[in-house]
Amino acid sequence: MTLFSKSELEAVSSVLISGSQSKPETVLASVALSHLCEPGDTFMGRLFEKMGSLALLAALVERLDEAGMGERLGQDFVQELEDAYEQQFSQLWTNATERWCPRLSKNQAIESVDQIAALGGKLVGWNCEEYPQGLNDLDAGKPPVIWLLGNPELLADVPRVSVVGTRSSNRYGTSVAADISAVAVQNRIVTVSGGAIGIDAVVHQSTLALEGDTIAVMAGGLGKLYPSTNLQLLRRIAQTGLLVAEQPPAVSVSKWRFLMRNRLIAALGDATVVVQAGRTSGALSTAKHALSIHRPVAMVPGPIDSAFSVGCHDFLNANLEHDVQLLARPQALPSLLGMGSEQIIATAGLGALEKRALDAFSDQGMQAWEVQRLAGLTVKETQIALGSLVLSGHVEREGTHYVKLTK
Amino acid sequence: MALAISHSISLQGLDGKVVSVEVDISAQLPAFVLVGLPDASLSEATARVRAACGNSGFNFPSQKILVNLSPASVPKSGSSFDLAIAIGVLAAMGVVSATELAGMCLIGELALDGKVQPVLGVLPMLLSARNAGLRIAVVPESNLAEANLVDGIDVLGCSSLLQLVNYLKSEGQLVRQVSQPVDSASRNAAPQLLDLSQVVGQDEAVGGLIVAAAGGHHISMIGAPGSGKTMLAERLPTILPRLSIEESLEVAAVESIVGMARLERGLSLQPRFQAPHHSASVAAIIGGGNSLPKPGAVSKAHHGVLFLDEAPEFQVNVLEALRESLESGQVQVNRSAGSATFPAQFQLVLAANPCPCGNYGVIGKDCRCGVLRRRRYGARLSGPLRDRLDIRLDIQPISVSAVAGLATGVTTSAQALEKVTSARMAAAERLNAWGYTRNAQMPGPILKANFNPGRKAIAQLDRHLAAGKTSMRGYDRCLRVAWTIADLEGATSPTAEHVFQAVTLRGPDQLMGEE
Repeated sequence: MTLFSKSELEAVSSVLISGSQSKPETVLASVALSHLCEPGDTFMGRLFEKMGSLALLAALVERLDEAGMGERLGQDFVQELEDAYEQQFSQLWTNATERWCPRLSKNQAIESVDQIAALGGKLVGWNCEEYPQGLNDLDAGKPPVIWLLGNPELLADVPRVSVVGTRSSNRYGTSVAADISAVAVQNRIVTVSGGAIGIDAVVHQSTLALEGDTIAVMAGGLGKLYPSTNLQLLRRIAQTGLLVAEQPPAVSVSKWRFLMRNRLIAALGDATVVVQAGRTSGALSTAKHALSIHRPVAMVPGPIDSAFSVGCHDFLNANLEHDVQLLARPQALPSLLGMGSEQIIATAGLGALEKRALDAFSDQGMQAWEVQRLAGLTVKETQIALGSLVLSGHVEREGTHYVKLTK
Repeated sequence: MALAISHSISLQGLDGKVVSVEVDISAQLPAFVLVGLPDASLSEATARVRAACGNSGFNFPSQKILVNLSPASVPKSGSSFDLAIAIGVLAAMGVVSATELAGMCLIGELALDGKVQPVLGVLPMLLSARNAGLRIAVVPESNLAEANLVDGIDVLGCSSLLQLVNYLKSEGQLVRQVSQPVDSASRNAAPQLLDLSQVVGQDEAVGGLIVAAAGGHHISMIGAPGSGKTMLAERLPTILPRLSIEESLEVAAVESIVGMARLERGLSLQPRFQAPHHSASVAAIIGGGNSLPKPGAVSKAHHGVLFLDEAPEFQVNVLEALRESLESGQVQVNRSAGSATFPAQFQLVLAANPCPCGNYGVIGKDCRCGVLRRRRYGARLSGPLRDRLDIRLDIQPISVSAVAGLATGVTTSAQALEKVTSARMAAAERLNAWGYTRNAQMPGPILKANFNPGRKAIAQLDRHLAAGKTSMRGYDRCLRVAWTIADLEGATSPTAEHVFQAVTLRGPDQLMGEE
């Protein structure tokens, strides 16, 4: 059965990340499915993992009844679903088709693909190779498709930290968020946040100001950026960082979508830091999601009489048996991510000159001419390499000597 | 006639004032009295003048001769008034006509036999005389070359009192000499005793020196004794652009008052090199003098290089006193008999051993200094002074291969000067609108606001600053040096590589790891 025409498939190919090996029809099927369900629909996720997006879509297009669907899924899997949801499969399937089928529209899927193409963005289906590893921890709750605007490389295997907090932050929170972002940039850690006002905006802004990489996860579609007060910031992120959404471009935000979006923030970061949170702050839901997928979570302390920090303190107390810590100072961020000294000495991002110079270092301090001779560089090259290494924090100059840092 | 007036010049620093020498001869007990705040050297003029006149055949009358130096409230000093006093007395005696003396300035010291001796400060004196509207200047013949540098005043040289008297009686001539205004040998960097190519195996330091010359940056050099710090510093003037005529005149005026002017072949356009010893006093470095202000080493190094070898060994107050001139390009010297302002725009080169014994960090040698001792040594150079040093060069002991003549990349002074000159032209063109000529002069705020090399080039430096690892001043210095490197390489704006190189050339905030 052919669900899609050739031209439709070509349209999809154009918005896949260049070099992707994914099949356009499975991706387009995922796009169609993503229009059917609300975020975090685990029932669809389970079917999806069992059958693949193309077969699931075909089953829905054919309007299979529960008997036909049960046959395709096999007796064991049906049993598994019944156990998981404590409902009869017939009931589960009827409910699901009642939810999904009214939305079934091929045109909508094609339109969304056209829209992301018009925005200059990309999309990644859940079965694509480029699908971020972190999101797989959401198991059946992971989004069928994520929509991207900006630099998709930020989703590759690089260290990321989610920094979130209240939208009504005060000066303390703002300055701490900026410090944490600075430490992240220094250690080449990508910051992830929600693009909202308050702490989120500070995180994105500080990271960009220091020429670091930042990811903003949107609750709505990329064609309807929200909040409008942050429109300029979000556009800058789209240029030098990355905007991520699980909703198709034309979808507006809703309260439910905000809460579900938080699970993506938690899953994209290797750890989550909550800078400031009131008693009912949404940032705490991000922390909860992070704990549920066993990611380290850190709370920034505040004055105990501050309404801005009470959520952080309470969360810390309530989850002492889980992996929640106090972030005592911004510099502790790399260790929160399990980054030791090797990570800091990592030569990622260094040029050839710098690597050669760094290789020449022994454990003892060296003078510039020794580095030059051992690395076989010219005077000028040595000066450039050493200057660059000093700025990147790989070596430090102590008087006449350069010392390799191994903190 | 019993009253006559002649004119001379009294110098206060570089600033000269016209002094009227009024002579009155009256019938009282015979005496020769000089009034008008003369100092000891000037008071002795009466003895010299009486003897010189007598030996030239003009015996003083047995009357009271009163000489007043007007304005009488300004302290005066030196032997250069001798000629004016003698001629004033002779005019009052009627030997020469007093009307001849109007608009004429007389400068010179008299020997007892009537010969006219050379004096100090002729150049600034004549500049002041011209500016005060005097038309004729009579100077010692030996000072003629120097005096001729001043335009707009008729300069005559005389060798004896008698010759001058004859000239004033229209019975003889004085010497007029057309001398060369500029020493042509100093115009170009002709082969000299000192050349950059004589420095072998110090490519890094030579490169840094060229950057310093191109941007006018103050530098520090740290290195073991005998590693060639002095050798490098001495060659800095050979790669600095030649002085302009005005600059050269400013320098010559300073040299004239301290007797260092060598103007027989005309003005020298070579930038000067001053290397005072580390035992020097504040007065020797900044300026001083017994009662009247005299310029110090900073002014003698005006438009040139001031080299302080063994900088931490200088008295702390000497080093601190440098700050004013580094800031303003001039020094004000205050003494009991008045104050004077001298120009002092020099390029500072500080040299220091890595530690008091000099062996710290030197391969094959043991340093005997404790940590505290080393720390104290470096701390003698205060933060504000170090803030002024844009470039820091680590001078390495010369390598065996370099000694064996295997070293490559020998740059001659002429080659370096060419690069420096074109870099300075690029900088001057760019900075013209702000009234500066060299990158080193740029204040940080103007630099950051108008000469930002672009995010790509300074992103890493910005991060370093944001992380608190670079001070704002250090940041500015990196930026200044990066611009100079870009100018040297003919780039329109510094690249990231230029910034990296600048970070290395600028060195750490501390000088010897003492903090």
